[in-house]
Amino acid sequence: MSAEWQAFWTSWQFDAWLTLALVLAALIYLRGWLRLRQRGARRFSPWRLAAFLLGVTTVGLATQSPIEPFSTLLLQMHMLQHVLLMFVAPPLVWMADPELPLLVGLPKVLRRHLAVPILRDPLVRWVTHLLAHPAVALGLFVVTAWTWHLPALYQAALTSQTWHQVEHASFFLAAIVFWRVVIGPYPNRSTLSRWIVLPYLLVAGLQGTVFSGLLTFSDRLYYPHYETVPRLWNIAPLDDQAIAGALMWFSGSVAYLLAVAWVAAELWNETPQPQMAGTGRRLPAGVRERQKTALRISKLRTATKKSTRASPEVWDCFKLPFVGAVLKSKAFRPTMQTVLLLLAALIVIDGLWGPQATSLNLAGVTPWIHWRGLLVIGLVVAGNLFCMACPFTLPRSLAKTLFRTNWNWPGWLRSKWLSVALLIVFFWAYEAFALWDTPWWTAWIVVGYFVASFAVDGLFRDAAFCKYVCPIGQFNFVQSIFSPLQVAVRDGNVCHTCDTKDCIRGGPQGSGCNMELFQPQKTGNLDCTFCLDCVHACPHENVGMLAFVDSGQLTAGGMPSTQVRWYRRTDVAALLTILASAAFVNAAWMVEPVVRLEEQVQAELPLISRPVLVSLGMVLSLAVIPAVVLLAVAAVSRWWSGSKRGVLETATQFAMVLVPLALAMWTAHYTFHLFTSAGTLWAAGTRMLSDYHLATFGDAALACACCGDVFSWILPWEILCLDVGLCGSLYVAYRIAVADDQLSWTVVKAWTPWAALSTGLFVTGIWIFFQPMQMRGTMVLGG
Amino acid sequence: MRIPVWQIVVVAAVWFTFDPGGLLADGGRVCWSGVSSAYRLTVFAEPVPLRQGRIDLSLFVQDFEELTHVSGVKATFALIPPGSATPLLEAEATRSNATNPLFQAASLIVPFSGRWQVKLLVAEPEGPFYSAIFPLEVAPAQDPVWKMAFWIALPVVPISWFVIRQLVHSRDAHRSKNGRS
Repeated sequence: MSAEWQAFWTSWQFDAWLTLALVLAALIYLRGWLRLRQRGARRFSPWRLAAFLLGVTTVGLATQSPIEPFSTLLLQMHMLQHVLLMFVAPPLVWMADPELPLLVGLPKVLRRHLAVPILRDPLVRWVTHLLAHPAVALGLFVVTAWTWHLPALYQAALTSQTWHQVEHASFFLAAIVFWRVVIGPYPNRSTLSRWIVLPYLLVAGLQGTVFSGLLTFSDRLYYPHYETVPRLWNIAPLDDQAIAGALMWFSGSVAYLLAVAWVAAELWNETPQPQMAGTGRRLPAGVRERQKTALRISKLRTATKKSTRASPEVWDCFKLPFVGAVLKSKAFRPTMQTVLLLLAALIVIDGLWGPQATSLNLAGVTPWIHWRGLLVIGLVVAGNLFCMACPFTLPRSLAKTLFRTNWNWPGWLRSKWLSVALLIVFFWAYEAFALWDTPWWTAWIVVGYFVASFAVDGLFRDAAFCKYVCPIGQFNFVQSIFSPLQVAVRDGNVCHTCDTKDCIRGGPQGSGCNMELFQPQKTGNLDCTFCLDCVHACPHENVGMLAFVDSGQLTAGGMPSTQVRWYRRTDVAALLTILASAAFVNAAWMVEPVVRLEEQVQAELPLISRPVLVSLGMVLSLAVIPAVVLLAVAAVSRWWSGSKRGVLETATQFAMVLVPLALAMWTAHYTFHLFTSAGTLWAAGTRMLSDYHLATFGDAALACACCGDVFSWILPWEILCLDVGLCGSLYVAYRIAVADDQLSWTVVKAWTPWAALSTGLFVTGIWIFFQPMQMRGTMVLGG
Repeated sequence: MRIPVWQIVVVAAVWFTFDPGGLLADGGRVCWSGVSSAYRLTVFAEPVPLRQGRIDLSLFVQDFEELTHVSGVKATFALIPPGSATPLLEAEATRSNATNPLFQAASLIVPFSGRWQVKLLVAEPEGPFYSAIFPLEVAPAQDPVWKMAFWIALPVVPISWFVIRQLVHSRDAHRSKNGRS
């Protein structure tokens, strides 16, 4: 065997994600096919399964076999790839009638909550209807084929892997659209006559002949790339082009002829059959079979629906095997709290008595790099997990026993204003005193937190500290509004018949909600610490940890859990605004241009000390500017839309718009530090252990204290976070604007200023990401 | 309206499975070809155009007379920066670095743009190394914002989709309202 052939047979490619996608498609089809067969749908015969698997395999062969690497060296190989993607795989896929098996084969949750809503979407239906039109499908197929074979584009695809993949994807998709009209797969057949497919194929064949002829008989090389590459098997470039043209011609002609035969056979089979009642029309055999299958499936669906009607629609975390039992266990929360309490103790010990080298001290790295990063990840993927495991509230019972006062929290402090003020103080202190760079201060903050929590919870009823004081708690509450898990009622009907209301009052099974949240009325995660007291207290076991985001809470009517609607809660709006502005200010304050600006201002105003300067900057950027901007945007929105609400009321109502972008910014920023500086925990931990002669602190551990590599995916990850945040903010603004009205120009006018504000914040965030950032908590300062 | 978590999970999973920092493949554009006493040599460079940063150089070796492929030739690329005479970067071209076994590839990180010289050293079957020098034009690195344009512009897709969807929905609602009246 020659070296070329040897190389050819050993040049198999492996694209893990493409293989995964193909295997998944095959498995989903197989599952659906088996289920439909079990239900008696005989239309889905074994040969249809074989056709689908063959189609999927063909796509794999075209993209991952030796054809792929050799396509840049020989035009005929490249053409073979196109033939497989345009003339072999798509018809095979459609012959398998894949739509129903793929839908039935999907897991129930994905089918119900993802596939069906998408397929029912009016726009999706309109687009699929449009693409099913023969003129559109043929036009798309011809334009795609000719456009990509223009020398400039073809050359670009030969030299760029990305364009090569785009080219293949567009060929395959255009061919999928084209062959759908020809095959007419069940159950979504076109209402047009099947006769139309014959001229459709004729036109496609004619253009294919012209195209292949040009390649085969031309004495000019269309793609100069093949002239520059080494000759394989001594094939001259022009001969290669002629073979490629002939291959295209032959394969296309065979495919079109087979398709004509397929359609002709179908039309032939449509001989007169038993009459359809009342219409005088006869039904073809294929149509009768389809109707029978559809009827069977419909009956089965109805039966399935009836049998599952009582089951909850929403996924419940507590129903997970093992995990659910662990979460529900009464020992789970105290265990988690104890673990974090021990960690807090280590941080305090190291912060107070360890070396004051930030990157080598647990108090210098754990709270500012690891805990913050894991906190936002927890909020994004699950919910308010930190409050659930919060160590500060662990000694609450002890405090209540010691103090025995049980005072009511003062009425004038029953709002978020105190926490707003504390948050401002915290963000100010963080920058003014560089808390992140002071393990000693960090340790005292932890101690202070314990003391404050102990005192407030000891003196006052319920969880006053969590609800009205704790700045970390407020951060968690606000960001968890968009978390995917909620502690919520499983079945509202059970609550209607409940007399005891143990979820809030408490009962024999446990204490009720310390945050004064009444489960049947609670929507969203605001003020919910995930303590699971309500779960344990409910005698009906009707409270679960459910997976959904309730977007109803975003609109003006939401938040019954606090008994006051959004647009009247200026304290909540202030909290949202502060946390949103802090998300951007906190990140911006450590990028190079801002650091330089701070240094410049300091140099020009030597009489003002840095803490004073930072205080001014913080007050301006955290409170004054955001408040002015918010009110200005609200004024424009109100004036333009002609709303009768006041400016403050409008600003309060729309403040929620800021939350998705803020969460995105916090996530991007904190995970950036976590991913780039995770190794500092190893360095600080080993250093601390070595202090007590429990480990050796070597160079390897010391190296971990340095800033790690910034992975190539970090920047796209950060931008993607903001992308999602922007879409979320725009959607929230839309939902709030449209809450009182149908989509109209008034709604658009109310929405536009908020959309502009969101876009402005998005651009600001992008700008921040592109700046060199201080790697706080690590040994190296760089970008 | 309740947005099921599955939609969020699927969107997140789709992104996580997509590796934005994709590696360069063998191939690209032929940047030099020549002959030694025993071999016909072709060098491919990728990406196209070549830019400051990571580049792939792939070598295809053929027998001089028969034009058949020759494998296992020891070959090294040495990159000489603009205005210098000594190589700054050096890497051996190996078959294991290439996805196509016909190639021997080397991956290098070019620190700055300009007209570099590539010194190709190939071991002849009998005799010393054959060396060839050819220029390699390296363009400045792509503007980082432009490089990330795909990610920055990504929201345009869902936003456009949503806007069109709402417009279609609104039009349908308007039509059915008028129809009823």
